Amino acid sequence: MSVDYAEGLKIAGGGLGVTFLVLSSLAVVTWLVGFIVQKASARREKAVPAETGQTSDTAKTSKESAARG
Amino acid sequence: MFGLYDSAFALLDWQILLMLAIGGLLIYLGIVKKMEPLLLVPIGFGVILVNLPLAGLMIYTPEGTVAPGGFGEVLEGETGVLNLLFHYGIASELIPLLIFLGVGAMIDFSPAIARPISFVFGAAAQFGVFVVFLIAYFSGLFNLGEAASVGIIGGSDGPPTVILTAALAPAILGPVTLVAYAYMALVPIIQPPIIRLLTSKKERSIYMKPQVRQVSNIEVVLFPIIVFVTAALLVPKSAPLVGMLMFGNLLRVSGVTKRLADAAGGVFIDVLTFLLGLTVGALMPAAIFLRTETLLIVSLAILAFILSTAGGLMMAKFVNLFLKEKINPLLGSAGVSAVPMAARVAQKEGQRANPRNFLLMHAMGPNMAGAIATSVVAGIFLGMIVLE
Repeated sequence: MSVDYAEGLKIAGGGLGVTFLVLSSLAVVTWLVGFIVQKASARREKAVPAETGQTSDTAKTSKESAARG
Repeated sequence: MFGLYDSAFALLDWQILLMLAIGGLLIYLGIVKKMEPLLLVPIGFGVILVNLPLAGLMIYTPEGTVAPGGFGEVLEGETGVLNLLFHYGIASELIPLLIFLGVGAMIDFSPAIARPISFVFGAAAQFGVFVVFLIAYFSGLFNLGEAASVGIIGGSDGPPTVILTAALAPAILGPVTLVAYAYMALVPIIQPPIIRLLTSKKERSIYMKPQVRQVSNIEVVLFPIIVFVTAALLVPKSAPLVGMLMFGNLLRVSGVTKRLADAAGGVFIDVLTFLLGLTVGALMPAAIFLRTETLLIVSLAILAFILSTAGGLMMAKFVNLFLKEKINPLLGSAGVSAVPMAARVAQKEGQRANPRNFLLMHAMGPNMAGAIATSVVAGIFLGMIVLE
């Protein structure tokens, strides 16, 4: 069986490189989504008490009492 | 007389007897030693089925390839029922893909989402795949497609291995699949010596806090969609594998398709697994399996796995050079996607070095990333290797 050394090296080197590229991209995208979601939920939590003029603790307490009726 | 006109005893030779013994051994390992029983029992029985002379369940051409197996041929008695399963289930890549859907429905990707660097460990753990691909190809004994199929066993993931081999090297599908599934059971034996060789006790003792961070529902739901779109755009040939894995996972995490997820990860994957096992076993007739090539595949597969484990470990050690809060390098060894055995080995070795360590959930991140990485690698090989 004839061996094309250049082709073999191209596939192995290029393949490993592309694997790192794809998986690193996934790492970055996953981190970015997590970062955005965390920021957004932190902002939302901050905004709720601010709108009602309450601290987050008092907002939670009044929601709980409302739920109890 | 006595119904012995068709007796097959006269056709038994040492090769067939050896294959029947191998089939029996696989069943023994599955039942008695509990080594991957869901796979080894059907594979072992498939080996016995195909090697019984005149049974006619799987017919081969004189060249050693599986004979065509459409419904017409089966009805006319020209071919066996397992030929049908092979052509419609494995050669068409349908069964491995559907199994991956079921696997996706059972996987919790939260540990990988919580620590995205897991993906880099998953990539590093593919090192052995490419090195062994080179060794196999440069040896001159395997063509490009066969070398890729042998190398990818090092990724330790069944469905990508089956799909790649069915597409690029169908002639060695039997031994490659058997080795890929059988040696997964050997992960707890193969990995610890490599781990101890490449890491110091101090490194293995590194303590990691139990919880990385709480992953929100929206992240968990977005994850399969984002992974699929990114992987399919960068490596289009990986789309079927990654797509099925991620679709299964979306069913699990969406919160509204619990019945579908339960079905995909339950009886659905079980049925497919025994069909796959039986058919893979039937790919091992004595004339094809008892060749030096098979032994070579076994040796190269073990080498690929060793190098992949080493690649993951070394990457984790390298990353530690830049981190303030060090991670335990055992997480790197879990980058091979033998789920969940590699993560269990990391947990066991970590706890042995430091009884306070509880690495299982941390190690599941790279373990899951490894499953994605192996699918990507299969896509890369499929895209780069053109068979003449």
